[in-house]
Amino acid sequence: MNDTVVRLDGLIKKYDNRAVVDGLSLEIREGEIFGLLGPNGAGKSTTMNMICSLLKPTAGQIELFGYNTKTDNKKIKPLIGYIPQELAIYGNLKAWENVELFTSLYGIKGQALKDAIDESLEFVKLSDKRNAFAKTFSGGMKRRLNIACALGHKPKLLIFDEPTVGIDPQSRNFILESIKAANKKGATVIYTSHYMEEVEAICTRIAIMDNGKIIAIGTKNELKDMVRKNRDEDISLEEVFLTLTGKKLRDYTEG
Amino acid sequence: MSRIFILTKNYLKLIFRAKSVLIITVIGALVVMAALTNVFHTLLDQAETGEEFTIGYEMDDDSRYSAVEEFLKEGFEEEGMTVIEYSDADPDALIKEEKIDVFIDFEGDSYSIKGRSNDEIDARIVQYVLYNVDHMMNGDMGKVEIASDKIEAREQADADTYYTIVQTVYFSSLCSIFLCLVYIAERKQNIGIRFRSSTAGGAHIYLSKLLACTLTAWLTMALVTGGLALFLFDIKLGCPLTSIGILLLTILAFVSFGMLFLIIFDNPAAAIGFLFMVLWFSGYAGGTFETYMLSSMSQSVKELSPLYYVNRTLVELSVNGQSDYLGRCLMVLTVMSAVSIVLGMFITSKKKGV
Repeated sequence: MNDTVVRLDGLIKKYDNRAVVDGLSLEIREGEIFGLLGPNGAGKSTTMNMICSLLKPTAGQIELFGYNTKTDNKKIKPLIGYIPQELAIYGNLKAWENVELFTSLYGIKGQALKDAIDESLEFVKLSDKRNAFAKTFSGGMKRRLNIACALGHKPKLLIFDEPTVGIDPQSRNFILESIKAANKKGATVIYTSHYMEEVEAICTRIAIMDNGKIIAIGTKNELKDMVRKNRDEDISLEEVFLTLTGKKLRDYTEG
Repeated sequence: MSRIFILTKNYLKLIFRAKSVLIITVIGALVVMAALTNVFHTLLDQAETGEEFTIGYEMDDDSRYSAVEEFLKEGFEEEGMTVIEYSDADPDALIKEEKIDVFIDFEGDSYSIKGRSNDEIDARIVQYVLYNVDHMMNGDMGKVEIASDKIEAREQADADTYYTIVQTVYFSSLCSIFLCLVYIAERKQNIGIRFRSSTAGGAHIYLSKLLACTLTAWLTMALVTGGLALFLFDIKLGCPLTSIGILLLTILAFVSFGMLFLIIFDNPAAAIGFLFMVLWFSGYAGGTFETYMLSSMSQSVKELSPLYYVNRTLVELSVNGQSDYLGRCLMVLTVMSAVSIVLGMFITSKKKGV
């Protein structure tokens, strides 16, 4: 049985002849929590946007669950839950109404919709706040609601784009535990973050991107081995990252 | 359908929870309509009840208007004007000597009107009356049979009737600006990304917004017109069902038109600025501020404004119980709605979301 959930083959995305993603090939297997790391402008978000069909590749193939994104978009979209980096919720809607609205976008209705709302809010521990307006939530609660809005249609692939930016350690810990719980329930996860300790804590495999290419891929120990080689001391993932991508500041503009 | 229903329901919640916007829309409309109606009341009353004036005219034997000469004279005289027939007269000299205020020269199929340059209002009143007569005659001289009671039925609107109607129409069109704030909220909150990553089509998203905005605009205007009727002055709609239908269609047309520009423009502020300009011109040319019958603007410019057709139809329905503009009004609003909806849906499908 083929357990490949995501297959990227020679993926290229160019803006004005500048390749933001440059011939990316990658496979993510079912049940993985796959970390995608890279400095600003490395091409992570562009890659994820192409996986979610939010952007069209300039060249190359994307297969999700065996379906090609060019031809089977309608079959693929219900299988993906995308949690964007920026909050995408309505402040003037209650928690349950936000989940209802975004879950209904996938054609879920009736009792199935009601159950999905209950389960999603319970999953992020917001059941007791279901009737509160999102605008009254703390940063951490908004982040959790942001996640709940992507879970209602029960996706098999969850894509988290820096979901813990700007929240307190308790909320961050809760979100990381939730991601692990979703993974245990059977969801495959792609996770990007600039917090190396998060990636180290939850990801089963990690790819480091720079200049639109994958420069290293493997488990955290395999990545560390690439860098330490002859050294005995334990090193952090951050040291691996900085060694592979350099310490030069990365300022970039999109497009 | 369930997707559209749930989306519409939630958009309605969003709109109704933006209480300040709704309150400003309703109260603002009430206050401004009352103020504008009172301001323009004076202007129209001056035109209606100003000093009686003297009309001189010359009618060629071959003029198409000779068939209705007597009716015209009676009509003007019933309004308190003095009508004097001349032959081979010098209109400029007559006006200069203050023997007459307005001179009409009927020649063949046309007529020309001369008035005192410092008081054009008299000439415009005459022009408006003749314009109506022209419409009744339909350019078919062979079948001119106009009963005197029909001429008398062609009354002018008084200030209250005119301005309560045209201001209701104007604020119906302005609703598109207030209600499209839902787009701004979405863009600010990055909601589009969820639409684009979902299986909902552009049509689902567009239609649910259109439904929510249109329903709210209908309700808002019902409150405004109800409030006006209850507390300030009556709005005399002629043929109530037809008039209400036209008002509802006007709101649909302008909401869909407004949404189209909010979809096209990436910058909502630019879209609203542009919309406001379009609506202002439409109102200016269409008789919202200066009455269309006394306006010096050319007929072809007036007819560029969709509001002209709506104002004219509703005012004529109110005063005369019928309007030659009804068909054109319905056609303009239907075409405007259809084109805006089709384009809006198409662009939303391409952009998917906001």
